[in-house]
Amino acid sequence: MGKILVVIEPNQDASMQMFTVAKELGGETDAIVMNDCECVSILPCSTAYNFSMDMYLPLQATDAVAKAIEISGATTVLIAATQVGRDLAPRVAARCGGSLIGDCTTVSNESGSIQCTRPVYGGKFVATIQAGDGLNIITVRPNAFASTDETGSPTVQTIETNHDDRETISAVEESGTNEMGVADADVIVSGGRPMGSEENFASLYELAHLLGGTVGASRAAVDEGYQPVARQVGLTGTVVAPRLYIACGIDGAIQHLAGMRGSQVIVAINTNPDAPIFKVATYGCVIDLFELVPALTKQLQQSPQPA
Amino acid sequence: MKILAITNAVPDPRGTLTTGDLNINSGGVKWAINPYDEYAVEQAVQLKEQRDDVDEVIVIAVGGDEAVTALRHAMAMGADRGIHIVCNDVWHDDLYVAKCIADAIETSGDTFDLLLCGKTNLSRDSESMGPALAEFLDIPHVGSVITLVVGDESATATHRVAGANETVEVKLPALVMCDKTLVDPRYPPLPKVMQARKKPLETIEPTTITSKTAVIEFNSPPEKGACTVIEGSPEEMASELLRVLREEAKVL
Ligand SMILES: Cc1cc2nc3c(=O)[nH]c(=O)nc-3n(C[C@H](O)[C@H](O)[C@H](O)COP(=O)(O)OP(=O)(O)OC[C@H]3O[C@@H](n4cnc5c(N)ncnc54)[C@H](O)[C@@H]3O)c2cc1C
Repeated sequence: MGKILVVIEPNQDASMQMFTVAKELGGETDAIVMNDCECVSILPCSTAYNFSMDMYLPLQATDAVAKAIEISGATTVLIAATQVGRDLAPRVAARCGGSLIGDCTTVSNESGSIQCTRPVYGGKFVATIQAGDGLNIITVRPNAFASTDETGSPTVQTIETNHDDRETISAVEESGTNEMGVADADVIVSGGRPMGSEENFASLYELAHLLGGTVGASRAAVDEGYQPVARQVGLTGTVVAPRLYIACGIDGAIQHLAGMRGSQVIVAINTNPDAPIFKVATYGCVIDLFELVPALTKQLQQSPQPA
Repeated sequence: MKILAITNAVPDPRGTLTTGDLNINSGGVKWAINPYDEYAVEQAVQLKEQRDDVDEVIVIAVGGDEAVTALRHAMAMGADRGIHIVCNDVWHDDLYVAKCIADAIETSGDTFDLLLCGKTNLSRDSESMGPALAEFLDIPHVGSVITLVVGDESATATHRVAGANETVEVKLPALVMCDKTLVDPRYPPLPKVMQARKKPLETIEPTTITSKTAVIEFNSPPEKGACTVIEGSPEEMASELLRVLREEAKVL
């Protein structure tokens, strides 16, 4: 196994999971941190590169990562499949003449060659993909691998990049809250049509926050205007694979399942025992969500989650 | 100004799919334009309708016969002509598709000011083609765009990032990946569908490159174990659910 380069977004646990993937593949590991971050000097790797970039810009980030690939001589690049990672990886692969395997749920070393599996056709199938010769850029779904607490004392090297004046961020408008997006969440509590109103979703946010996660929604709930489109999970929304997905009053239409069936553990809360959501659920609760959600919230408030 | 819209055909999500030889069994599959590509085509056509400096909207696709379905649909929506890069293996990776299109643009001699594609390809479950194509052409790109204003030398695009809407200004030529809510795709009426059959559709062979990655197995996802039903009063259910999530599933 040749040299591995892990790409780190600051404060992104999904990026730290890439060190676990690197360990699994086995190989000397370097890292590159997007933007200066205190974490750089304690990453569990040999050399840690960093570069300044306040906000993600594709051309500039590609330039920095391409330089790190060249300096480190990496043949495998691991990037968490977050919004930024998905945007960056293809550019890096195209820039450096590498191959790209995106959105992997498993990555393994089969006698020296890398094999990955990834969902295709809306999660209806799983393809096993053999990496190419030479440089491979691989993005890995958040939470497909455990994170690591390991630290190290790498040599830190700064990479010079310049802002490319063909791309400029001209405005950033906070969309109300700092609520995390569904693609990056570890735990998602999703609500369907029976939520009935935007106000009722507040109870799901409360539960989700107690669990350290965020809220998703079915298309029916989005179409009714209870939640913004960015929260829609499914074929035409976001495809998610959190550690825990709690579906509250969601029927389990095939287009919804396409977006969440890859979750590690699925809890279904539904009044109809024959709802299709129970076919993919790990745990099922046949009950009115408006009875169970408050009970869960109350018990979590009494015995909170360890942080 | 010339605009290129990139499109793909995907299996109609309502149909059933079965496994074939390292891919889906394509026999009997009903194909449709990738839903996100409709936003790209619609945006391109609206720009042509709104501005008098847009000479042409061209639509391009890589694939077998199914790609024609997407191209004809895009032309029925209003694209002026189509380019079909013929590639008969049903599986091709995003980087291959991007390279084929970049090469086709280069050999055609056309210069495009704006390239539009859908945010996600729903067959490959992937968002990689757009950024890769932009890189091959050495132009900027913006992902998941929900509002777009195109000027003469630059475009201003807003997209969602964690907790915020970010507005990015890119110099033209640029590639924009279209998300839903950007525009409302029109449904072409029958006369437009008929007219689209007569619009020029050029067929070209891909350059001699192949996908660098290969599919070596293709399976249905592993079945989830049977669902464990949790019973009792709301309070009992809540405490039992939290217990199993902590102790059995170990996800809390
Ligand atoms: C091309 C296409 C793309 C689509 N993309 C998506 C997508 O990306 N995401 C998506 O989600 N959908 C998508 N859909 C829509 C999908 O087909 C369903 O219509 C939608 O998911 C239904 O949402 P729902 O489960 O919230 O609502 P419903 O179908 O109305 O189901 C509500 C469920 O809640 C249960 N229930 C009712 N009251 C309660 C209560 N008090 N407590 C507990 N349970 C209760 C009911 O038994 C039922 O199972 C798409 C459809 C098409 C055609």
